[in-house]
Amino acid sequence: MSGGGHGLAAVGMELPEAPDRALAPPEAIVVRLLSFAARVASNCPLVLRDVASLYAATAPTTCRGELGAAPHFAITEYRRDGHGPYYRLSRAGRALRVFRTPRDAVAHLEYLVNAAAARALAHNLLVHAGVVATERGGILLPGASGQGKSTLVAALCLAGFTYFSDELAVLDGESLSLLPFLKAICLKDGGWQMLAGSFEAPPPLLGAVRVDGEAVRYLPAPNPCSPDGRAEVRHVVVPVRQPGAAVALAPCSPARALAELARHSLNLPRHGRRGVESLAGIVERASCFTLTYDDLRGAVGVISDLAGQRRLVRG
Amino acid sequence: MVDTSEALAPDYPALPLRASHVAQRLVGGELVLYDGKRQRVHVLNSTAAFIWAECDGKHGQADIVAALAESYPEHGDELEGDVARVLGVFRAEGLLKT
Repeated sequence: MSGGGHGLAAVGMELPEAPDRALAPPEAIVVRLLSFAARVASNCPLVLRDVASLYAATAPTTCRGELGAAPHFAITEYRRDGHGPYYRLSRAGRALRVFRTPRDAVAHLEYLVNAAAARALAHNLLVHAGVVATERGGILLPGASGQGKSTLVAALCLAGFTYFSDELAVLDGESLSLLPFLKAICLKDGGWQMLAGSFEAPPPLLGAVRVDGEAVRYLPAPNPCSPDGRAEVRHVVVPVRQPGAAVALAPCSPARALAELARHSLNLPRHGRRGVESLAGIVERASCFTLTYDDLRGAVGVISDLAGQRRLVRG
Repeated sequence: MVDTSEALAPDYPALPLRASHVAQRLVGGELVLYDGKRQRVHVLNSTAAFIWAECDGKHGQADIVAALAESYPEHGDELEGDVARVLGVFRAEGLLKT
């Protein structure tokens, strides 16, 4: 923890300092994820550039004026008593946290925007899962944090799969089609090293330290789906990363796959019995597997074979 | 210390009965239960599914063991313990009517 003159933490502090001098008048952009929109303002062009790059697949637009009831976020760059610059993150005018670097502020903003989007999209079934697709349909990769979903999704997209999301499967409440949640891919350092060691990955958009202390890198969504695209679930693949394990794709019963989807659902209680029926319908139409792996290229290879995807990267 | 465990334990009828808040559905040939109260999904193996079907408020534990023995005569010695264990899980998970 480095303190500077004000006891500010390296990543962020709980009690924000009031700015005494903002450096420039703010500008704003609109970030959209499906039907969700948020206004993000900043007086720091670097901040707006980074935020726009994280959601580049959804083509953020410049915002002039207000945006109705949509969430309003701001990152204000300021100096205080000759120190700084500091970056104050606020929502609806209420200060949330102060950061020492614009990138750490952007990383926390991205987390808040995604969380707000998930809440706004809760009329759909939401599952903690990576999602990729081919022309033949979508592949759901459910799992908790730390299972390597984002790394696997990034690798699959670099191998030619279409990107839908590295974290959140949005299943349309009516048709149960997969909808794209086109945030940038967020990789922890270990995931980034693994990806860069196996694939020709594009340079990260930015690196940051999240408020939980985790160093992360944001990767541009490779091969993104159109923002209004959709796909039917064709495969459910439960990834299990085990150090030293050989790559193995084993059939999983639809009931077990349903239990996995339910376990990783973010809002099944809201949908109740109807939601379970929906998930049951999905796993009954899809083919379901458990993927055990350690080698990323091998994992991409077996999923490519499963999906009938021409291998762009030889494993 | 006063042992309150007996007083606090739910009172289950002698003839186990499926709770009304639990929905069931066959998915790919396996029985899936959805507990609407605890918002949990359970996948039952064939033995547990058999026992679940017998939890109709008309059969006691001994009846269920006897019915199961007709289907699995080779497991006769283990069935009593298996049925008790599975019913215990059903109760612990709140799947049976108290």
